[in-house]
Amino acid sequence: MSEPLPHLEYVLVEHFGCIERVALTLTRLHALVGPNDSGKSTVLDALRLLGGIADPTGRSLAGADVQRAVRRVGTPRQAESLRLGFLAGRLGWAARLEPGNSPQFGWHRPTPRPDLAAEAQRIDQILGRTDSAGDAALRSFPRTHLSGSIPTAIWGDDGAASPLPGSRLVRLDPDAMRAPAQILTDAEPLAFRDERGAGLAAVIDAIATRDHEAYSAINRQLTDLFPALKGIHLTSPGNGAKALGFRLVAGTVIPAEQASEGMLYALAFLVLQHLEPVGLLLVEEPENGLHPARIREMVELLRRLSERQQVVMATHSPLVLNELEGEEISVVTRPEGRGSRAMRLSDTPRYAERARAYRNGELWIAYCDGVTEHDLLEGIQRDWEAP
Amino acid sequence: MTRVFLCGEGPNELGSRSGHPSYQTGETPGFIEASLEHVAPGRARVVGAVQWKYLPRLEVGGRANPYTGRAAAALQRAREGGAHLCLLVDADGDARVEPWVRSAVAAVPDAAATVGVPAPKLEGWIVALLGDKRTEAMSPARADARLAEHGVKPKDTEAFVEAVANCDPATLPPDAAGLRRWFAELGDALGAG
Repeated sequence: MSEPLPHLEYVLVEHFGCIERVALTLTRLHALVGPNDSGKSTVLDALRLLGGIADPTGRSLAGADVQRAVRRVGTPRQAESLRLGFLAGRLGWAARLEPGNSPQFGWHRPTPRPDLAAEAQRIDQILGRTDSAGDAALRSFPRTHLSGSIPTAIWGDDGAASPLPGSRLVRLDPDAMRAPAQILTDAEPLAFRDERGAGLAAVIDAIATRDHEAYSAINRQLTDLFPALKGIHLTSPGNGAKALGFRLVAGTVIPAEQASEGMLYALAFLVLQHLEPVGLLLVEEPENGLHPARIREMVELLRRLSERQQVVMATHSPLVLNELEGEEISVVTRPEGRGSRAMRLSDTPRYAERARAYRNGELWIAYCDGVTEHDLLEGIQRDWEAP
Repeated sequence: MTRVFLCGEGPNELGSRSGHPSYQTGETPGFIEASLEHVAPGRARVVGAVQWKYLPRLEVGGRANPYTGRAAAALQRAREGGAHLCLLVDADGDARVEPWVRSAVAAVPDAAATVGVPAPKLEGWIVALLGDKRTEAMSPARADARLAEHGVKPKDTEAFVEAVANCDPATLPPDAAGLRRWFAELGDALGAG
């Protein structure tokens, strides 16, 4: 039996946007849940940056992008550097990034069968040291090839395979998905133009050209979800563009501008599985625009995708959480005056007991308060009512 | 003193402890609290309550029955409050409800709960307390009609509480089996049996 593909098992993010320090223990399919403004999206941004930096092809994020990202998110205290670290399979990796300066990277290979906790501690220690000893520790990692400010082959000289061949962030926007798009050339990878799903029409056109079986499968899955639909209808409005539309069973064609948001979201999710593979797929609020009955199917699709690439999503939907295991969910909060923090749902107090009474989404809404999530993360105070 | 956590369908069962937890008060009792005081005066301390509908159940298409998960959730709330659960859910004329609720409670290890499932609904128990016979065979509409004939307005929690406070266990109709069992089980739970 082949070994499962490596995935990010442990990630440490420090001084990134609103995050002071978040340590995440991730699974192949993982959801971040928590109050608004708790830092979930920032974690996704950090993971995207991480995936981009660690992409050995350098395709998903260029060196300038790293610097731009560092400048964009800033740090809580400008004097501090942004630090990222992760463990994936048999690789550990740490980076320190400072706007304007060359980022420092290092990676190491833990023992063949790494003790996750011990290796995580090592990453923590290295990144946690801001003094010269910490820098020395970081430098003691086998250095990677640096090109300007970005490593071009971070996975080193010994042929170690990257567990993170790039990342893709998806924050779908119906207006972006509706817009006609320039046809993809044969040399261009199958990918949306941006995180909003722009270029959906061109991607579907390219799938139809390059892999008709995949195109037929998308059509079949879409019409299963929307029985009034006969299939996708692509048109060429000129200037080398493709426009998206849908043909109804009754024969009418509706252009994408008139298509329902739910249909566009569903189509984009079906297309995701045929895009150029990346190591890390990041999805913001996958439940958007979907009927509750479709959410289970969407999570099943993401779970299938997670067999080939790690999928991390940010969600506010208890129905999404209902489809996941406790260790596949991290609760992200940002207590007043402190940076964001994360705790796996399965590590919350009384989880085993609560999970007998609730499914995970129900458990979350039964104990969350939308601010501190105190009862979820700390447990209910037994004498909460005065005698 | 036994710590007690209440679960019921609304103000009739919970008094001012119904509604969203933020708005609950202990000012006025409902049927459950009145039952506790009637069976074992001064022996129970209510530490919290939850209205049945606030126990979250989320499943597209529904479960085999809507009671199993909610009963387990109510028990968990009580357990976290270190309390005995007093659960009262109307049968609403459906004979399957009581077995569903009781089996849901029985499925939870070490469950500390007293379960009442008024048949056909709580109004039926009230008219039994007021002396009516064969109340469990009534339809829900018949129970409402009898309540009105006794001069009690619908959803008059105060009158319900008064009916409990004034009842004489010796004169309860023998066929009010569910109601008798409710009082007996509460008495056992509070050490007054």
